[in-house]
Amino acid sequence: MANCLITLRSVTYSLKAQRILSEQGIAAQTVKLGSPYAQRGCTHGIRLDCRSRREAEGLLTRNGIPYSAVKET
Amino acid sequence: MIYLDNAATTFPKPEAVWQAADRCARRYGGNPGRGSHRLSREAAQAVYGCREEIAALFGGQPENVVFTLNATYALNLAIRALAKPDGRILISGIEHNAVWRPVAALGEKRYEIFDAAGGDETILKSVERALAQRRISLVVCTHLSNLCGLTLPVAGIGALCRKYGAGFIIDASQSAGRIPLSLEDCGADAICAPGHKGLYGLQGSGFALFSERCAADAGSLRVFLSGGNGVNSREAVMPLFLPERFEAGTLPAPALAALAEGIRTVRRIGPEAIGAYEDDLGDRLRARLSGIGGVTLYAPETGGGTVLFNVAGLPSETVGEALDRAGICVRCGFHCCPLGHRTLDTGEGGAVRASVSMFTGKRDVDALAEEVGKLRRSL
Repeated sequence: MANCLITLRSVTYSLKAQRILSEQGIAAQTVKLGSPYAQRGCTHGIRLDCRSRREAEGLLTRNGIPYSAVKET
Repeated sequence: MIYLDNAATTFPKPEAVWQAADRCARRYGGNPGRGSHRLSREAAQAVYGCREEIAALFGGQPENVVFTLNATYALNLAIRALAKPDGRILISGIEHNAVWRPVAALGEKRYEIFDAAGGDETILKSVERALAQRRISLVVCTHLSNLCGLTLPVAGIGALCRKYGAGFIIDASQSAGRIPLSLEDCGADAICAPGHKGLYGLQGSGFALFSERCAADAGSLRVFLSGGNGVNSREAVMPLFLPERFEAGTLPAPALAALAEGIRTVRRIGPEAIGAYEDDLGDRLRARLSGIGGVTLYAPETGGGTVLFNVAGLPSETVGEALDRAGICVRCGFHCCPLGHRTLDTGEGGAVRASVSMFTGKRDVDALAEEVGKLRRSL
């Protein structure tokens, strides 16, 4: 099972994203990100099962949560 | 001991509030949002949980909640963020120094004051006249006075601000948790409040809840304080988005975990029910004090759970000291609100303020009235 990382603006946005996904039955974990995921310095993101990636991206977009990158880890 | 200084800080707190602070400090007291370890994550979750509670209470978004030390800090932050360099600011004649001083600090000629007496219709006419004629770009006013039960028509003022394109900041220091308030219904750009009053949190917690309008343009809002916050840490400037644009330094996770519990309690009971209970206690106290010769009540017609009075022949501080000796805590003097005291005609000597909370009982206010009666008879 592959994991995906979605980079978000901050820990606040990561926890909001985690909450929204969780309410739709998608398990995600907030993680702190450094290099190479955070070119501008420390930030946060969420880790989730890549099989949920597409649905998660759709939920984030619909809820107005900006995310800058999605990478398989 | 009878505590009737709840307009300054509510005491006691719900048991769950103390437990939440204790649990956070003992079990997951990491630095919220900084580390990649469990204690930091759990602290961050507690902080975010508090953002959610505030957003649920006032109808905003969790990420638009900016945490501060108290309401004064939040008001300073919001005023400096939203004040336009060439615009004037309008405040009411019952503002606390938490509004008056930061506005005055921007320049004596930058602000003007509208009369808060005379009823909602008169107030709204004054505000509209100022907005229409005098290049007002920002209105800042309290929702509920810290001296009496006087409330300002914030929904009407917000509608006028929208009509004339002015910003609008509400100081909800006294109303939060006691009077329902909605960011959207009031057309406000920001609601500022302390955690330690009617929301039953601990000292050291306060917030500014910004509107979506402000959040969408957060990069243009002037930063009040800079520093580390775990976001974009390689850059010299604060992030361009909320809440981290305004949050620098470590947040008080135990106080915010406690505040979340306080707000949960308030939401479970309902601000309306809490306010009604406190209003009844205030009415009871006013009725008893009005029956004592030589006691003057100020703005009794405004109702509310905050009662302002003086005893003839005694400075307010003397009354406060006598009550303290009898085991009753009240607040005397000017209550950091010289503008309000001027409006209520107590600007020279101040007054005695008794203020209730949801933990105050009828016996408490009766005991105060009894002591005031004794004091008066002893003169």
